[in-house]
Amino acid sequence: MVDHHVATSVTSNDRTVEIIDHHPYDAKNAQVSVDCLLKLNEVGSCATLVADEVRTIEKSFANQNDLISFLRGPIVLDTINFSQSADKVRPLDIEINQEIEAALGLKVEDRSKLYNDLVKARSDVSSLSALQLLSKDMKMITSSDKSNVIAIPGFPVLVEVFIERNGIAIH
Amino acid sequence: MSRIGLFVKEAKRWLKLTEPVIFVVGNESCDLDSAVSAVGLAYFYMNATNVPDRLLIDGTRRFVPMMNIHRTNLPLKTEVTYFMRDHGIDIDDLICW
Repeated sequence: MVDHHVATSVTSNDRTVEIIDHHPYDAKNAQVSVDCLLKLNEVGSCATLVADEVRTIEKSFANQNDLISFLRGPIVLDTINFSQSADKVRPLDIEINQEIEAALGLKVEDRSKLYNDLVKARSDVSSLSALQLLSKDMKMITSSDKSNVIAIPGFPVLVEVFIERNGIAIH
Repeated sequence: MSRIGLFVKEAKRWLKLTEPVIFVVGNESCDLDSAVSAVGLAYFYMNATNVPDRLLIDGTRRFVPMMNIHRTNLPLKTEVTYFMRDHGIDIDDLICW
C-alpha cells in the first residue's frame, strides 16, 4: 500500500507486505499484520517517502533521472509548491526535492511552472463529458437514519453557463 | 514511450499470465500522489540494485502498479492523466479495477 495504511476493497491486511504512507496513523481502522513492514512518516507527499526509499537503497539519485523527475510532481503539488503558510511541507520534502533538483540540474523557477501546470491540469475539464463533469467532484450525503442518500455534484462552472453551452433542454 | 511507460505496459501483460505478482496500490482518491507513488515504487523495485527478500516471489521480482479506482473514473483525474502522458505513460496501460 502506498499513500494509505487502512485496507480498502482491493487489499487485505494479511496479504500486505509493505506500507509506505504519509498520513497520520489511524489506530481505529488500521489492522497492520505483523508480517507487514510499515513505514509511516507525516510529510507532505507520499512520493517524498518513495524517493527517500530510492535514496536509501541506491545511496544517491544518480542515474535515476526519469524516476526522480516523475516523483517530483506530487511533491511539488501536494506541498503547495513548498508553501510555508499552507503548512503541508515538512523538512524531508524540502530536502528530497532539493537533492532531486540538484541531480536534474533544475532551478527554483522550474518549480512554479510545474506547480502551475499541474494545478491547471487538475481543473481542466475541457475533455470531460456532462456525466463525467457531474461525477468529478461529487459528494454523497446520507441522512442520519441512513434512509436517504443525496448525490451533490460540484460543478466547476455556473450551472446556467453549462446548460447554455451544452444546449440542454430544461424539464 | 519512456522507460517508465514501457514498464507499465509490460506490467499490464503480466496480469494475463498466471504468475503471482505484488501489486503496489494507492488510495481510493487516486490523486497524483497515489498514482505516482504506486507507479514510481513498482518501477523502482523492478530496477533497484537489490530489494529485501520479503518482496521476492520465489526469488523473482514482479511488481505491478494499480490505480485504486474503477477504470471509468480515471479520466476524471485530469492531473493524473496529464502527468502520466507527460512522462511517456499510456493511460490505457494503467491497471484499475
